[in-house]
Amino acid sequence: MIPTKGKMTRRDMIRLSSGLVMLPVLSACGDTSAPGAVSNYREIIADVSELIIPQTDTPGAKAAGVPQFIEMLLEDWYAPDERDAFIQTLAQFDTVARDHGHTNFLEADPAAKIALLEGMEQGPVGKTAFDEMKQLTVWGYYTSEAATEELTYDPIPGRVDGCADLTEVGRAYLITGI
Amino acid sequence: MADPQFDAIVIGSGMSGGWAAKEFSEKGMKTLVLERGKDTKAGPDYVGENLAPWDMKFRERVHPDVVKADWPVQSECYAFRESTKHFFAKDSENPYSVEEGTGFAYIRGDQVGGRSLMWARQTYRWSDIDFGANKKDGNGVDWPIRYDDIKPWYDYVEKFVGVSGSAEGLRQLPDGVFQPAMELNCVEKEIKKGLEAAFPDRNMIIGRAAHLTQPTEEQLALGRGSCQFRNQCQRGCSFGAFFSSVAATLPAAERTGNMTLMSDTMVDSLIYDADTGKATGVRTINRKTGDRAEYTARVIFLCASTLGTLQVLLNSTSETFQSGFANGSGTLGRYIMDHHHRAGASGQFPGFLDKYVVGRRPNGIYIPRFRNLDETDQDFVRGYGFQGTAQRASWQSTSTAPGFGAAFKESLRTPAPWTFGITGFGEMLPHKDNRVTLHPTKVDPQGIPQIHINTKLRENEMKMRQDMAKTAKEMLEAGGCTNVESHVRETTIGLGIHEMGGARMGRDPGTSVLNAHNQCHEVDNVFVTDGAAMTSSACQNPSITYMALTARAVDYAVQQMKENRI
Repeated sequence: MIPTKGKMTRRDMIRLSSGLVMLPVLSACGDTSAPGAVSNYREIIADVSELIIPQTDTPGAKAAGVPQFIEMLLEDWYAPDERDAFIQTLAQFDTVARDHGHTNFLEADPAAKIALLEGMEQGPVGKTAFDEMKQLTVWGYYTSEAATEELTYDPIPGRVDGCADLTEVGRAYLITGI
Repeated sequence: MADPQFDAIVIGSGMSGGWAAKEFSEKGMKTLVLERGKDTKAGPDYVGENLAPWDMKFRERVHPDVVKADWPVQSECYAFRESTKHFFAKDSENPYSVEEGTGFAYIRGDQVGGRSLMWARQTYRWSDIDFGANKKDGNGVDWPIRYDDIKPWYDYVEKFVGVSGSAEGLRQLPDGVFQPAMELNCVEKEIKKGLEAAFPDRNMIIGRAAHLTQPTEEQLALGRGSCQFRNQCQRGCSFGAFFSSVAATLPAAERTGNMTLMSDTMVDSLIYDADTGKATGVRTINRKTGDRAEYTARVIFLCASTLGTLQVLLNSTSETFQSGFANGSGTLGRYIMDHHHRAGASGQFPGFLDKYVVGRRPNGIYIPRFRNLDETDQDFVRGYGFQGTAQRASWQSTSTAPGFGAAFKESLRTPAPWTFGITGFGEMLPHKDNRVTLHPTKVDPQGIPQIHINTKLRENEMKMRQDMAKTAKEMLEAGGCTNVESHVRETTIGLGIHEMGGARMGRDPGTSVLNAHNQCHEVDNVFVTDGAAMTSSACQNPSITYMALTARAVDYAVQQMKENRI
């Protein structure tokens, strides 16, 4: 009916839905064993999401239910082959940790974890894992109820002022329309 | 022969059908309104209204499997979300056919109210520059009306609808009956200054939008209230603040006691009596039960939306009308148009970092047509307008910045710097070969032949699109925007969601289907007042014009009925 586009994967749709640019999928480096269950990575997902959006003076990713949201997406949003690919990607966290002398990612201390993530964000090793976790975390956090404490939530404004002072509003809006 | 069951049958309950229902009912006519889609109860059926993102499993996203199965075309629409999808017709249940090598994105509703529940509420009058265009450049046939004929009806419908807008005195965009205009935000005001200084014949104004900013007694009495600036209109609005059939015209019709509204009721064809030369009624199919029933009336108004109406007319063949109802001219189904868009520009606007907005304005800026107004001095005829907004994006955009952790989280508390973008809506010329027919073999689930669409953008449109990108860029730069990028993106006809034509009005029965009163030349008790009637497309959003034509046509029809002429 309409001109066909290239097939978009669900992972791509997550990126697009967060308003983020489509990223190339780098092949997972190192570990080539079978992906395994999500539950093997439950703690890493929780740990990394909280490192990306930590508790500050407002809730962080864990309190916002982001780890559960990500696991739910893996179960109900991702196609099976995409799910397996993502879980395989998650192995990069341990791979990178070991490359830096740690037993695994979770065993590293907080400062070391941050350094590991900074390296992964730069890439190339671990960049796929980091980028995907960041996108999922951002999406899960900023659409959660906890985020109403973090950003301005104004469900029924009742009026409009196109020249308000930013100081009057305070923080960026959580909701921008439909 | 038995008396007709009704004075009038109105096919469709959307933008124009709602008006036909109201006008007939208020004039004392027993009116049957037939809607193919499901019922819509204001409030209870606004299932997406007031949902927070976390109330939805996928936080406003629709699962790809669901999109692929049920809404592959509808999901192309900018307004398609989890919270709005209940108003979009399922493509899986409403198939249509497209000519090989062409495309058409048919975006539509499937409920009482139709697209009047889903529209962007943009409301702009046509002028004689538009009504006179076909005569002037020879494309299509002359409109049988001019602005003077429709002006009183624009006044009439706008008063009831409630349109917020500013009087600007522009000859190409006549002022309407307005409630207080929404305002340009402070960056838009800056851009306007630079743009209008550099281009004195161009204007940037606030959009004219069918939102209540100062409800009248009549609107309050219908249960409508002021806009709350949520900009979530397509979910359904319990405030009745933007115009829809469900909020306004249907309740008005209901109150007279003269309207019977049947939902889930498709019209298969008109029943024609060759002896009297009139349509006597309609054949219907209940979509839930499959039951067939016929209803009779003195007068029939087709308001089923452009392609819906054309499907009924093309399917209403008889000995007299072998190629479609009232199709002696051979033009039924031809001269299909839409507004082409996805050509424009966007950029950044420096400064004003201490400024933000309160509320979510459900409206943008509008740049009325400035090309070829009096003379054609471009390499294309006709013209285009632009819609757009200046805004500061939130986390969806700012979260793409590098970083993570507490500092990153903190940084997302600041909205992005200002950006501004405009997208053009371009006029599409009426062309004989842009047409719809009925597919010879494919049918829909009720057994009605599918509409088959064969349209393409042609030379005038393609040249216009290049100019749209060019002028968009120069205006943004003149307005003070930086890093301006213009674009002409691939687009599909139908994505303007202003598809029209196919049963055009005209002076000559040999080259048109309808006369100056939207009445079929050949069958005087059948009228078409939705987009199918349009003889040219102009570039202005067309809904208010459909409403005005409908109210005017009902007024004429009722006069004729009272004088026993139809």
